[in-house]
Amino acid sequence: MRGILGFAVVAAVVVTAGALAAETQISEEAVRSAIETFLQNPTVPSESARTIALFTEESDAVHVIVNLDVSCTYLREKYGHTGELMMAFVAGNIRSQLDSGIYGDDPYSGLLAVFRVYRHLKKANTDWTIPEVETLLDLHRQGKLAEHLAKEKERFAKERKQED
Amino acid sequence: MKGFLVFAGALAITVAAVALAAETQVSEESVRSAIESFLQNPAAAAESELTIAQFMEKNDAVHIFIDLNGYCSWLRADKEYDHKTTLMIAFTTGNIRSQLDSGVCRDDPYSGLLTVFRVYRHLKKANPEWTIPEIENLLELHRQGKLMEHLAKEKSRAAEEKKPQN
Repeated sequence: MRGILGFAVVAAVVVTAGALAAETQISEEAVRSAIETFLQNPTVPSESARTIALFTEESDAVHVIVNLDVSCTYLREKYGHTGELMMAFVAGNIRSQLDSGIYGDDPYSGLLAVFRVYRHLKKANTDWTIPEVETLLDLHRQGKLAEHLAKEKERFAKERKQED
Repeated sequence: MKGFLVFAGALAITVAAVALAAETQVSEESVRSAIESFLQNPAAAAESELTIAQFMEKNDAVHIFIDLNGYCSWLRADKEYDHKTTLMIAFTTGNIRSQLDSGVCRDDPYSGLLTVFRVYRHLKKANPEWTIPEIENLLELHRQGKLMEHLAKEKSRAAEEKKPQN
């Protein structure tokens, strides 16, 4: 495993889309197309989700940290649609890196894609709510999402340092 | 004009694509499709640019601030770079897409710049010697993980500049 999809904190997230053992080399064009398809119709498992997961797994050009203590707290609880929301986070995150050509986790862009998919899924079930995502959306409404992510990242790094 | 496209600073940019008089209402689906078409071929996407411009013109759901004294200084009239209009459309599309995704009407220069980077790199492939130093600087800040912080500072500066002088 080239292992660029990093999970922080021991996670019980099951990526049903991730047939991570496959050997296929996926082009940038193919993964961009898969990202668009997935974001338009976020379904896991699906061919688009599988392509995104495989690309993330195989490519040295992208780095995604699914941090259950910082940007992905909503994946810790069983709210439903965990696979779709995680894949959205990965899709937004890698699209940012493909756009800039710069290798580096971008949770902010990941969350924008999470917001899109969350709102899409919510249309079909208006009573379904994930408080952690609502909180992040509210921070974004206030223009404080980036600042929040930076502070949380710092806090998490300090805690990890103390543990070491 | 419903106009949430705000330019800060002295400006003489001609946005050829912005047919501001158009009456067509552009749906979210149409503008998303236009954004994709534009990004796939930014140098030859006049129709997509028109759709994006019309959406901007008619829609209250998005707000875009173009800071010519800061992160969009490469768009200033005194800078004679090629592809300025294409790059401005790129900035707009990234910014719009972020707001459509989140459903939050809030200017997002970070997402705008990511799309500028994509289009800039695409255009550069055809002409590797073509360079815009201001964009290279922003790319370098992003490489160092400092772009967000830089934009926050720029925003504070722009807000200070907008305050009435005593």
